[in-house]
Amino acid sequence: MTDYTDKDLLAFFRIEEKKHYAFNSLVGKYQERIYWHIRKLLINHEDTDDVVQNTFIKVWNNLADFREASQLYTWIYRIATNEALTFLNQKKRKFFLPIVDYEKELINSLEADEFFSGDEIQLKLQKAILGLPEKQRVVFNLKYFEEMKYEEMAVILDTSVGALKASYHHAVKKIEKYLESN
Amino acid sequence: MNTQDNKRNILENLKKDNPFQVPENYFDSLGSRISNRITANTSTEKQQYISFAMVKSTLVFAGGFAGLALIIYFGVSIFFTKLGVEKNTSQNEIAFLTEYSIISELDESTLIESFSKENSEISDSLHLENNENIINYLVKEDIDISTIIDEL
Repeated sequence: MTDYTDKDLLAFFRIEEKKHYAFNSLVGKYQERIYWHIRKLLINHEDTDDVVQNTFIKVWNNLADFREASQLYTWIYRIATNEALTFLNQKKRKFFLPIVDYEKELINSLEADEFFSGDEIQLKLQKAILGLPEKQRVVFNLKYFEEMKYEEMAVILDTSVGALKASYHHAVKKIEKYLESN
Repeated sequence: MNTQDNKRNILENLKKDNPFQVPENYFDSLGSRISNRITANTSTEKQQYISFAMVKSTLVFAGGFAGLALIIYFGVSIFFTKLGVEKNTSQNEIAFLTEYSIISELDESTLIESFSKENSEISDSLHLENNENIINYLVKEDIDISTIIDEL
């Protein structure tokens, strides 16, 4: 598949005959990044698969109204993050789980996950990340694993760069403390 | 000091390799599964739209039919009124038939009771009438109450 720019894909999407082709190209271009972003938040593959599909369906439904005020990929990330956080909250409400129990649930899911191939230290790191508040987890994952710029994260999470820097700093401190004590 | 530095560098020294995996060929089929869901959603929306459109046309047809029936009804009733078919005649007929049917359903004792009640009402009215005549006579003849008492 040819690598089109986001601008090309948007232009194709607005032409009825090329709409499906443009969308499939867009999914092909971003599916892995979006999948891994969501997977690190939800841990479980099946849940991630559902949320990834819902994310791209929302992209399909709203792409015609996308006004290019932000970059396309930050817009998709924003949808994906919202979908993932909504999913987590729904799951907590569905099972009446307090936050601490839900963390345990995610850690158990991580330990039992047949699609987790990390070594001991990576497992420990993931457990430490799961101990963070949800938004701090998002910030940490985007910065640490994806090395995203604070400016881009600010667009995705609708927060100031200063708040994001502080959030990342706190997250790193908590994780280091966890890794030292375990 | 060295130990503290080591601790601070824990995150920096960690491999950033992705520890998660996906089922085989997962990403190869993800795009087509998303497209299938979109197509399914679109066809459901279309079906809903078509069924609504069908219901809408049926409702319009039914409404039109009802309107036509009303127009015919009023047309016919105006036509018959103009021909001199009086509603009252038919109403009188109905009233007669109703009364007749009520009478036929009454038993003897009910009839007697009804007549005696009517008679008492008649006698009451006669009584009232007599009283009025007496008063009129007394006034006309200018007869004082003391004269009547004396006569008695």
